[in-house]
Amino acid sequence: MSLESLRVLGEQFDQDKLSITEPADLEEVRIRYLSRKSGRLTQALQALTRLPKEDRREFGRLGNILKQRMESELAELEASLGSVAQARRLEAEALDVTLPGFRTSLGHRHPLTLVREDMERIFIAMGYSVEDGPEVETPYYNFEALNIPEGHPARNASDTFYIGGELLLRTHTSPVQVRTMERQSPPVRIVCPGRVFRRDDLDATHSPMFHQFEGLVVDEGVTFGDLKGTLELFHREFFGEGTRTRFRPSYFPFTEPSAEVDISCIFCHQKGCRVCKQTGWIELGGSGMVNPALYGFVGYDPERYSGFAFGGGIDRYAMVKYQINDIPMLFQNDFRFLEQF
Amino acid sequence: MRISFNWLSEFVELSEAPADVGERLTEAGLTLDALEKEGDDTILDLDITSNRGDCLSHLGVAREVAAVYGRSVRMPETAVTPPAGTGNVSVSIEDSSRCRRYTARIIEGVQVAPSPGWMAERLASLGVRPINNIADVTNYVLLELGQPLHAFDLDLLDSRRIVVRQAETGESIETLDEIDRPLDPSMLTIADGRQPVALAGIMGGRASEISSGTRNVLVESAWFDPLTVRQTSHLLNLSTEASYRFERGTDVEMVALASDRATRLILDLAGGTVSGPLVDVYPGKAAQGTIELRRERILRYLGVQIPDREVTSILESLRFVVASTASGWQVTAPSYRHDISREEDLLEEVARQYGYERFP
Repeated sequence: MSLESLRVLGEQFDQDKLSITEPADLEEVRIRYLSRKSGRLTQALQALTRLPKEDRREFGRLGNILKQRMESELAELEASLGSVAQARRLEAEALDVTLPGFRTSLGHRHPLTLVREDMERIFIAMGYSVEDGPEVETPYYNFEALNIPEGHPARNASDTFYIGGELLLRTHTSPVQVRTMERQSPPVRIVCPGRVFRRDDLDATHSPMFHQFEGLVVDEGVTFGDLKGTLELFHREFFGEGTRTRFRPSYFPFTEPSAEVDISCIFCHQKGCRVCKQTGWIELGGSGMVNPALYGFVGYDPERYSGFAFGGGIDRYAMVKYQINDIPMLFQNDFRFLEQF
Repeated sequence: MRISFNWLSEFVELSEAPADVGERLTEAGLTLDALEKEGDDTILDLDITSNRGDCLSHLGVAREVAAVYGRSVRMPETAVTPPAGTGNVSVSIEDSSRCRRYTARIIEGVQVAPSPGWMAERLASLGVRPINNIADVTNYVLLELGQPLHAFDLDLLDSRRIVVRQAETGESIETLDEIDRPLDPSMLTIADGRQPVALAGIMGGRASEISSGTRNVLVESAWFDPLTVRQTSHLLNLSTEASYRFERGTDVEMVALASDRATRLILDLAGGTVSGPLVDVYPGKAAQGTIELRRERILRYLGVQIPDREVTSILESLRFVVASTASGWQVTAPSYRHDISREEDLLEEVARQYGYERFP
């Protein structure tokens, strides 16, 4: 060992130091030179005892200087490496904890649901039960059993979505009435809300899919007067006390007598406005006494029983109640619209 | 259906305003969609439900108005001068279930020209384009009485023959709209001695169209089966004022009267003389059935007690023939009321004329 070897050790350290880019490299260099057992400088200093006495002092002094230099330089390097790594890590894990969190929107009822539930509530209070049925139907339930025979204009393929040759998407919820009558004997007192489908182009007042709400009552001695009273009460409950209901003679294959149902305009109170087109009345749906021909399909005795049926669009009721003039708005799920309800 | 208030007033005495009449018609089931001022006339746009094909004319609406106000209906002038000449045309119906009645009238020596102003204006205000005095008369009578008519140029028909028959495979016809249409045996045609010259109840053929040179005319007035007309119209994607009415059921008893009315108007507007008697082939004559209406059914079904007197008067105002029985009435509907076949149909008539608003 000589002073010369210390100088070489110092130069080698300076070389190795240049290759340090990561904390792991730094640790390796530290171990190589300063490890307590196998560090090259540590071993060199341990060899001090074997030097001649007169050289020991100088060797020890220079050796300690080199040791301090190595330690301080490595410490400096470690500090700078650490801040780089930290900066890099900060960049990678950037998270501004002061940002406001994402707001969770609270769900609430769609206007169509509100209207349907309101309708159901009123009719359940009058002793009706709510019935359901398939949206994909057979022509028998959608047409034949409702007195719409083959060749009837209402069966045109241009109005109905047929699925293959055998099935169709129901064009009204009336099949539910037939299915219910098949299942149970009078008295029948039901309402059936549901989706229906017709081949209409989408515009402000038409949609290929919309919602109907129909009712059916069959029992002994049910009269046209009962039908009038029922819908008058329903409309007063639904639209407000002063609402008047008008029945206009009309024609549907499944009822006789048939009536269009209007309510007195709830916006202008029959003074004439845009909504009622100056007529004072708003058309809402159809109704009538169940055509006795229907009883033949479900095995009821038309001499013993009579009944009435009515129906209207849930969409239509919603549009009138909330003054919505564009039916597609009900189906676009635009929060700016939906949040108003 | 667009209805001229002035024209309506020719059938039934009306001192009421058009809006009032529209209101009463709405309550009776003929909903007023719109009122339009048209010169010194008012047009009522009425929504006629598909079961009331009998209301697709001014006469039909007048009958409803008369029933509502309890008035009578005046029929238009149909007197025809006695025929000169022999007519000399043969008509045969091969399928009497699809054509219950066919009449042909020959008028010779007409002068084809534009219609006078009153006729052209009346047609135009109701949305029908004036063509010439012969074609205009047929359209006029359709709007007036609800009976579709067709006029052929008699000299362009082969062997002065009319055969009502199904089309044969491979046949075709060029219709008045200048479209060549292939036919199939499901379709009913009017043929002359050689080939189809009209699609029954839908549209005439171009080969025998009335032109400015036409001298002799054959006027067709007939009854065609609604289902056949609807199917053919659907197959050919061709819907006309005529097919619209035949599909909804026309009045078989109106056929001859409408022919007389058209003849009267053609003689007035285009001159000429009637040749031979009206050829009227009527294999499908059927007696109108009677329907029982039970008194207790009115209360049980409608929920209101209507006095016998009022029931009778309602039914008679609609020109039903009514006979009282112990339990109610025996009722016969007029020939144009195809929608009346059961007791419930009568209940509906009573209910709507009694007034829906009067029910408790």
